[in-house]
Amino acid sequence: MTKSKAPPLIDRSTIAFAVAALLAGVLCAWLRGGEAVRHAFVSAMDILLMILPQICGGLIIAGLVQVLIPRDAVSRWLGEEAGLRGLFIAQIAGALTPGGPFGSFGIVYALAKVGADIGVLITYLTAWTTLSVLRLVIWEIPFLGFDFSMLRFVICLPMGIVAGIIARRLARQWGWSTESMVK
Amino acid sequence: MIASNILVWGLVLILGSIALRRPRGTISKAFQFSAGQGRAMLLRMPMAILLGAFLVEIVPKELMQSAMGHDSGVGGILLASIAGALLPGGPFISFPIAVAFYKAGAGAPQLTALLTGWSIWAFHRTLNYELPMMGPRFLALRLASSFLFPPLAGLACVVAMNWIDLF
Repeated sequence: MTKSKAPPLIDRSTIAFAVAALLAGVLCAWLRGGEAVRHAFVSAMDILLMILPQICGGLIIAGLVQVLIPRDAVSRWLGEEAGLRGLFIAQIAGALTPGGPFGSFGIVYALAKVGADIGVLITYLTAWTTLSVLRLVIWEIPFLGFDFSMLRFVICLPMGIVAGIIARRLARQWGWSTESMVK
Repeated sequence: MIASNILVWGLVLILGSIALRRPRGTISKAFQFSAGQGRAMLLRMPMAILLGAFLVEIVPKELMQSAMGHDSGVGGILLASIAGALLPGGPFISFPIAVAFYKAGAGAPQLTALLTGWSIWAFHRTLNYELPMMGPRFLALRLASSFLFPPLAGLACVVAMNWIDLF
């Protein structure tokens, strides 16, 4: 596994968000007055305190999964799969993969290079973006509530496998092999 | 809330005890990774939450309700899908903003479309990661396979809400 550099504490997106928050704060004071600004601060603090324990736990889980289930193992696992069974396994693997795009795309890139089944790769990515279980527990349920989050989760449940089936068909129709798609 | 915490910390305990049986250094490697990730969101997340909280105050409820409210229909679902696609970054940025939309009066189907648009179309992720890493052909195939999902998710939510008496 390659060692990734620690992300910077302050980068362009941090500054962009700080500026956006500041502008929104000024606008809020101007349009709605000081009471609204205070209200916004209190509610932001509430949210932050409410989700902090979950986020800390989530970060620890992401780290542990990273070392306990190495990327190579996931690659080997998904690389050999095909058929409908392959799509189901990719769906579960995608839903359980924690962390940002770097890890998931790293796996998909390596698999595409060796010509893994395109349906498996698309199902894995789609399930990772729509069904991420860790994201559901840490972010979605605390922010948006259990009822809404579960309804959205169930609605998104078929997406990974459907996308995989469509991708297989399209790739065959267009005559694209997996290796030919990546550089 | 409490259930969510029990689930998360239970998982930490289970995975942690597995990691403890592994060779020495496993745990510290895991913590290094966690610390790196945490550092990345240390400042960004509070800023995003604050931005979301200000947006709740600023955005006129009537405007949000007519644009993306429960009765905004297919137009609202499409608008929400596009808004979701434009949301930048990971969940620590998107969810505070999504909750601002919700509090300001966006409907559940519209919010479902918004989150699915953020997941599937994801302009930020596609431009910064997928396109440079995977190339245009892969991106084209992935989008062609899932392009309609965000508005379909919104419509599915409308149907589901008519069935079950939620919200």
